[in-house]
This record gives sequence, C-alpha cells and structure tokens, in this order.
Amino acid sequence: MSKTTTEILIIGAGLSGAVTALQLARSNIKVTCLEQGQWNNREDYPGDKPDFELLSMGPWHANPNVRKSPADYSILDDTSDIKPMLYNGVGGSTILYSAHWMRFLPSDFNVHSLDGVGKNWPINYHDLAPHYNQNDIDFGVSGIAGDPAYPDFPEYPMPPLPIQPWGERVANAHHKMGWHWWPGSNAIASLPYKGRRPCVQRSTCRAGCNEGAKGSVDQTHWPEAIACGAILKTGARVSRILLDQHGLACGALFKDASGNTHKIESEIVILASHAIGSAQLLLKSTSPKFPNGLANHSDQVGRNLMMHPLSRVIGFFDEPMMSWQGHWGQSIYSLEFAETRPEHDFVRGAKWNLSPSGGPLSAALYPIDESRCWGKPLHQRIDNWLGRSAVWGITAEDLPNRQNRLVLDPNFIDSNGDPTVRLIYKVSENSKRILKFMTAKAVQSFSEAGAHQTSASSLVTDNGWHALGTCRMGIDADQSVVNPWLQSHDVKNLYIVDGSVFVTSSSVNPAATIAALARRTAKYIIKSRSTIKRAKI
Amino acid sequence: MTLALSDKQRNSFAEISNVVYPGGYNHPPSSGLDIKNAPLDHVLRARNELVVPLIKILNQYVTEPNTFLSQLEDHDFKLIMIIISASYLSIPQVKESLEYNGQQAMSLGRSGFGAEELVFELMQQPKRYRDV
Ligand SMILES: Cc1cc2nc3c(=O)[nH]c(=O)nc-3n(C[C@H](O)[C@H](O)[C@H](O)COP(=O)(O)OP(=O)(O)OC[C@H]3O[C@@H](n4cnc5c(N)ncnc54)[C@H](O)[C@@H]3O)c2cc1C
Ligand code: SF4
Repeated sequence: MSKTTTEILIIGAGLSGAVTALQLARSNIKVTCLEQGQWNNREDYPGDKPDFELLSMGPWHANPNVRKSPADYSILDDTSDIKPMLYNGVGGSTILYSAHWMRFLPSDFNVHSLDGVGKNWPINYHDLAPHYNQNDIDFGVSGIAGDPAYPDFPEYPMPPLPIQPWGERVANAHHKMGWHWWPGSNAIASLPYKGRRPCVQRSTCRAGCNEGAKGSVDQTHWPEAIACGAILKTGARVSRILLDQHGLACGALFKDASGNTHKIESEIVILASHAIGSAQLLLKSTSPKFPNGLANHSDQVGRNLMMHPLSRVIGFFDEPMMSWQGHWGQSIYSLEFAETRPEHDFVRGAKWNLSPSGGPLSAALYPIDESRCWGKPLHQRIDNWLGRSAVWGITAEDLPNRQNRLVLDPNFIDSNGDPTVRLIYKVSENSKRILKFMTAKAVQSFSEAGAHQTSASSLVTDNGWHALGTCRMGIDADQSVVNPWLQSHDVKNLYIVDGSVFVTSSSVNPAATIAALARRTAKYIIKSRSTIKRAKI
Repeated sequence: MTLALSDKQRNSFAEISNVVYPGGYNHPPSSGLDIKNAPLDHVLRARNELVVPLIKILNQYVTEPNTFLSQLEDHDFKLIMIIISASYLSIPQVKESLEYNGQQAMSLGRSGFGAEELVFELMQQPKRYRDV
C-alpha cells in the first residue's frame, strides 16, 4: 500500500470540491483532491455528433445506473419515487448540468419561521450574498440583474443569452397576466469569457459542452487550482475516511483504477462527494467510536434526502421556431408561485424554467403520458413537436422528511465488498399538490402565449439531479451533522461542502448555493488556518 | 457484433418498424427505406450494448406487429422504440422531410436578448421577495 500526505484532502472534484480547492490553492494551502472519475476531452462529448440524442440516452445518460461507466457506483433506486442523476468525473455533475444559475430567495432560509414547515437554516441570504456575487464572476454567468423577486445584487458579468422566440411569447403572456418572469441566468458564456467561447446554441448541454461555453468546473476552476499547486488525482475512489486516536479525521483509503489500495494522510478532510456519495462514504466509515457511520452521532447522516420533484408541461405552437436549438439552460424563469400563499392547499411552491424541446428522437420518445404511441399518431406527435414546442420544467420545493433517506443495503455487495447504497424516497403529499397546481397554471401560461395544445406530465421520475440534505447543517449537534461553517459537529477537522448540507431545498436549482456555501467555508478555513483543529500526521 | 442479427431477425425488425412508422404528415413510410440494414447497423454500432437485448426481443416476435407491440413488457417496448426510432430518424430522406439537419452550431445574434422593453418595465416594479 502506497502512502502520501497532504495538508488538506478533498474528496470529489465536482462543483463543491473545485470551488473549495481553488480558494485554498490560491492561498497556497497544500491541497490534494481524490476523484473517482477521469478528465473528459471536450471533443468526446456527443453534442456535435449526429447520434447525439441516441448517445445521451445511453452512455451519456445522467442516471449512473443506465450509463454504467467505470467511474460510476451503483445506487439501488427501486425504493425511490425519483431516480438519481449525477456524473462522476472531474467536474462532477456540472459536466451534465443545464447550468441554470439561481440564487436562493431570502425566504428559503427561513421556511419554519415563515411557513411553519421544515427547519430554518442557521445562516441567511446576506451571509451568502458576497459569495454568490464572486461566484457569478468565477463561473461566468450570463443574465441581467434587477429581478424584483430578489434583493439587488451586482450585474452579471455577461448579458443574457437570447430568450428565444418561445421565451418571447411566454414573456408577453406573463406580462399580460401580471405573472412574474425574468430572462434566464445561466452559467453559460454569452460572450468570449476568460478563454471560454460563447455558446453556439446547439442545445446539447446535458451531455457535456463541446465548446467549453458552459461553466463546468473542469473548465472554470480546476485549471487555475492546479496552476496554483493543487494536486488532483483521478481514478481514485475513496473507500474509507480514517480516524486517529483523538477522534480526528487523518486521511483516507482509496483504490486506484486497477483496484490497488492506497493511503493518504491529511490534517484536514473535506468531503465534496455529492449528497449521495458523501453520506454513503460516512456510513461506510464505521469505527468503534462511530459504529453507525462517521460523524453520525445524531443519526442524521443519510436522512432528509430531498430530490426536487419535477413536472413538465409542453406547449405546442403553430409556427416553426427551430425549438431543438438554443441553450438547454433556461431561456426564462418564473417565480410567480415560489412562495406560500394562503389560498393554496400546499405550502411553499415551485420554480419554473422554460427550455427548448429537443430533436426528433426526443419528440418520438419523450414520455408524455402512460399510453404507447406508434403508427400515424407517432408521426403526428413528431410533426406537432419538432421545432414548434417549448417546455416548462417545474421544480417543487421539497421539504425534509427523516424517512426519506439513503442507507447501505447489506444484501447487495459492490465491487469493493461493501454494501450498496439504497435510496428510500417518497414524493410527499405537499409536493404532489404543488405539482398538480403548477401544471394547471403552466397550461394556462402556454395557452395565453398562443399554444394550440399542451401536454403535462405531473411527475417526471427520471429527474433526481438535485439530491440534497443528507448531512444537514444546524446549530444543534443532536439534530444536524455540520455546523454553519460546514464543520462536522462530531469530528472537528472534517468538513462537508456539497449539496448534502442543505437544510431545506428551496425550489430553485441548487448549484449556485452549493458553490456559495463551499466558497464561504473555504474562506473560513483560510482565515482561521492557524487556529482550526488538525490531525497530527 | 452488429452483424450478429440473422435475416429472420432483421425481417422481423422491418415488419415491426413498418407499423411503427407507416408514413404520414409528410414523413416517408419505413417500408421504403431498407431500415433493417444500414440504418439499424448504424444505431447498433453507436449503441453496441443494445444488440443482445434487441435479439432477445425479436426472437419473441411471431406474426402480428401491433399485437406484439402492445404485449411487450414496458422495458422491452421502450428499448425497441429507441432502436426503431433512432434507425428511422437517422435516414436522410426522413431528416429531409422533417427539415432537421442535426443540432447545429449557430452564432449568437448581437441584437439583444429579446423582450428588453418588458424587462425594463419589470425592473421598475416594487420588490416582491419576502425578507426576514
Ligand atoms: C443532468 C443534470 C442537470 C443539472 N442541472 C442543474 C442546473 O441547471 N442548475 C443547477 O443548479 N444544478 C443542476 N444540477 C445539479 C448540480 O449539478 C449538482 O447539484 C452539483 O453539481 C452538486 O455538486 P456536488 O459538489 O455536491 O457534487 P458533484 O458535482 O456531483 O461532484 C461530486 C464528485 O465527487 C466524486 N466522488 C463521489 N464519491 C467519491 C469517492 N468515494 N471517491 C472519490 N470521488 C468521489 C464524484 O465522482 C463527483 O465527481 C444538475 C445535475 C444533473 C446531473
Ligand atoms: S447550447 Fe451552449 S452551453 Fe449548451 S452545449 Fe451548446 S454551446 Fe455549450
């Protein structure tokens, strides 16, 4: 077994790992990041190939159980209403994300005080605002500031991408109805930006961006972090976090791509392995001191899994709009129904984002209802859909429930001889009501915009791309896993910086908030470098 | 690997495809497009892992394609629909009829993002977030 040492070990080179590594490396801290996947070459992404749609339904699928690449770990999902979607490799899930870049609303941090549900966050919008602002620059976000749904913040570094003909129609309709809408903010370059090319509107963002226009962290963060001295080891899957005799994390065991085990020792450990990967790793890292998993005296590790239930409404228009083109990020969004209202039969609400509708294979195969379609109706469906439709994606705010969780299932043993992670997740009654209400409203939105027909799917199961909450943040060590600086209550030199620390989910996309939290924690570690707890190695 | 399909299996594939895409709305019928050869091979070359499950499905096929399709398990139905649709939609005549030429790179116009005047009006509206 080989042995190396580092000052700070980061596990996972995705969104949160990259943001953390860049901040630390810029401050000359010795950082090593272990990542189970590999680098991708932009030329290998299928977006500019004729079989793009076919490949994105297989080897580039966002569900690791479908994709089955060597970097993926299996996730048992037959006990979950929603299937997991993520990517394992340098860049993590930002390789496949649509790059909708949304801040939380101020109320999202206080849902218990305001609406009597969930829990309040121990931090607020204003604690994160400086980090949101700076990350907008680091990720290269395009958009326009001034949305009345938010407090004022600085202008984005680039103007918005075109909102597209379908965006203009819907924007006009919302204007008439007095409903909120705003041009999409996306971590996608609309101008040449720090060596990145502007978006070419190929609409293939969900399978990697061939142009490098999309702000995935393999483009935006890792090259600079490495230039500043960070070490990034790929093909390195961590199997255990190690604990010393003082109860401090002192490194990890990991396997290389050939299955050989190695040890790395470190003074501080930072978990950035995604809400599923991090909780899994903690649950696997048992010891006499932590028989139920590392840092889990609260029994909150793995619990409160939130998955952002989603529905989609498609609007069909008469005029050709080439709606297979255009960034897959949002053309416009609406927060009209994001907040609790007394007249609703649910609490909290949903965020809507308007997107293009894909190419002919999506038109032919997209599940719009339970019925099987072939023959003349299939031709009609393609004719109706291709180039002349747009999609409202509606994300319901998911509230924490301790029964929604991930566990290790001893009946299924993975290639390391460890039990496999299992998701146990049920869509709540509140979420179902939110989606029912929202789909009806989205139909109204499209009708007002001139759609001659709409089609709604009330719950899309293939959409678990926002897994959150499995190591939640809090003040009370009996009820949460990390404190407001994302430091474990139980293991003082262990930090968790990924989406697992979310207390509630908001209805907006999480990447901007994950990145802001990670940056804030990195700044805290840098500032308190001389005083924070470290293992002696 | 893609050559592993027998003539019988290819003929079954064509028969099923012909009822899935009989032609209509200006799209050509599958029956005139030799879907069972080059288009099918193209798809199976791109997605090699589909060969074995496809053969398994085609081996269950006896006679009537409509009944066959309606009786397939969900998973098998989805799988054969992906292969038939991807084969059909990859054929140049079909693409032409759809006026679809793949996902193209386009340069961003420099004339603004659209609906600017509405955005400027919205900016004047009172803030609508709940601060706490
Ligand atoms: C298809 C898709 C679309 C999305 N669209 C959006 C969007 O438009 N807007 C938005 O805000 N969010 C979006 N998201 C979600 C967003 O990408 C994620 O929330 C975010 O990337 C999570 O960041 P993370 O750091 O927690 O995890 P990730 O970015 O997933 O990174 C985790 C990394 O850890 C590595 N890892 C895990 N376990 C180990 C281990 N044991 N050893 C070594 N390495 C390990 C993984 O390989 C991975 O690279 C999308 C996600 C997907 C999949
Ligand atoms: S639409 Fe733009 S961001 Fe998306 S893949 Fe194409 S170039 Fe990249």
